Amino acid sequence: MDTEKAKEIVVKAIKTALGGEKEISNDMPLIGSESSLDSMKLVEVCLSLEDAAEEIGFDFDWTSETAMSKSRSMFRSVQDLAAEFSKQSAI
Amino acid sequence: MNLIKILTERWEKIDHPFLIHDTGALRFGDIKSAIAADLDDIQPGEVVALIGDFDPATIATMLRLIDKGVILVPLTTDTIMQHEYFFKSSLVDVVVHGSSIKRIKNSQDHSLIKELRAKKHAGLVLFSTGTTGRPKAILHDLTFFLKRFETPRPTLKTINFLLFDHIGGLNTLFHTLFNKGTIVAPKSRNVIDILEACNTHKVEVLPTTPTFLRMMLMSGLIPDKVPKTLKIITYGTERMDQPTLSQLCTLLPTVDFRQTFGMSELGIVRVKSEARNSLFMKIGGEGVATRVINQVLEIRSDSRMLGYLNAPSPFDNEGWYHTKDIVEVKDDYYKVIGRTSEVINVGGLKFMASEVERVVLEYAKVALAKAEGKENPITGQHVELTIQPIGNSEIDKTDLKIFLSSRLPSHMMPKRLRVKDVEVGHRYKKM
Repeated sequence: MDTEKAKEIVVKAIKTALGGEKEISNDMPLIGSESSLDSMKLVEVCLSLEDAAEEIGFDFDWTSETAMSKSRSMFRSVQDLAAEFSKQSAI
Repeated sequence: MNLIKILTERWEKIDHPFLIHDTGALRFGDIKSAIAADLDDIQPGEVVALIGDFDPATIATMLRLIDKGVILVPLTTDTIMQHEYFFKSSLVDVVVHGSSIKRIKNSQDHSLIKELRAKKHAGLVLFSTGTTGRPKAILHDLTFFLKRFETPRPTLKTINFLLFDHIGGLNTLFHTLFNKGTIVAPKSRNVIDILEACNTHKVEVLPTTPTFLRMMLMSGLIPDKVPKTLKIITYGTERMDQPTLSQLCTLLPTVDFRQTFGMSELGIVRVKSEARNSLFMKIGGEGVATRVINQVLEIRSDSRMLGYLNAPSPFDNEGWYHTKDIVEVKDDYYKVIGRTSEVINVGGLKFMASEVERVVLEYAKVALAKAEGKENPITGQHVELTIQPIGNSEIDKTDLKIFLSSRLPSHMMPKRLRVKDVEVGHRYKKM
């Protein structure tokens, strides 16, 4: 899956978690004080991505030790999360 | 032991059956003529696995094995997949199933078994459910266990809902045998068969589990199919929730609901519910002491097991047993609100899985609910929920989420919701 398709899925998951049609930019941070998502909402986003991946036919891993070590970089921005989602879809 | 002799004397001149099963009735006198396995080659002190249920041949075999002074391991066919593990972890020498007797090679020994043999006492091995880790082999001194039944007590006609491999099931059997009562062995343990047996045989006591009672509620068969003869429903082995108990109390106003609290490790402890609609209970009886440390109930009991055969002793130096049950205390009464293993920690905020389940069960279409804490790298844990709808009801997930969000703080909200059957084990407990 290319990053653009992955981004669509990530943006949809974020919009659902935020419960609205808020504009989501590529560089929107997912963690830290500038993020619109609180930690619980970020968990919801990841679970939606897990479900979306299952439908497509791969496992989106965000809970293993390997994933945890990458979590800081993965959640830096929408773009970064989409890139990780796309990368995992190719494994 | 002289169990058959003692019981024969007690049952002399008594003509009612002590066991009613789907193909007939068994009087105590029939025990001697029941076709049991040929036990001649079995020696006192050997560990004998007996596979069966509360049927005449198995009961006859069991009484004979106890009289021989064996260490008895009662098992049912429901757990057949685990039998090899059970044989190995309880150091079984012989397996008896119906009329078949199979000797298995066991070269191991255990100090607790040696102690029992030295005392010439019979033993009993029961297995924990093993919801965390593999089942543990719990060894009791059966000669001591049976002493409690020597004092005569009144009996009521009881369904033997709890199984042959469960301390509660064996307790009911021995209580009935020693006190000349009658037990009814159900054809199966599904709601329809149990209620049918209650009606046909005018049963007075129905011992159950909360999972079974929830299934009974959703069957729609109560109150109409519950016989007027039913006086007491007991529930135990897992935690009950207030909405289910309240609903049962309203639907069955003449039935007394009593909580039981058994732990195979502790033997049988006496429990008194504060009221039929209350989850608070007093735990006591002769030789039983309780205390609460950091909200967790600890019990010391004279009738406790000798120890595990495949794990270190769980008792502290003074004999206290950490039940892992988190309790609320009101005067002398305790209410179990969860297990220490069920504590969910979301971003440092701790709560019990049962607090979520309690709210979910208030939603009209939910029959069973199981909340679990799942690890994640962001908040440590989050809640995932599995729900089983009542009958064929459709559950609107969005509507349920709105219902829950108005009743639960955000950290307790399930982040994933699955609609499917909640797994129930052979002892009618949630897995």
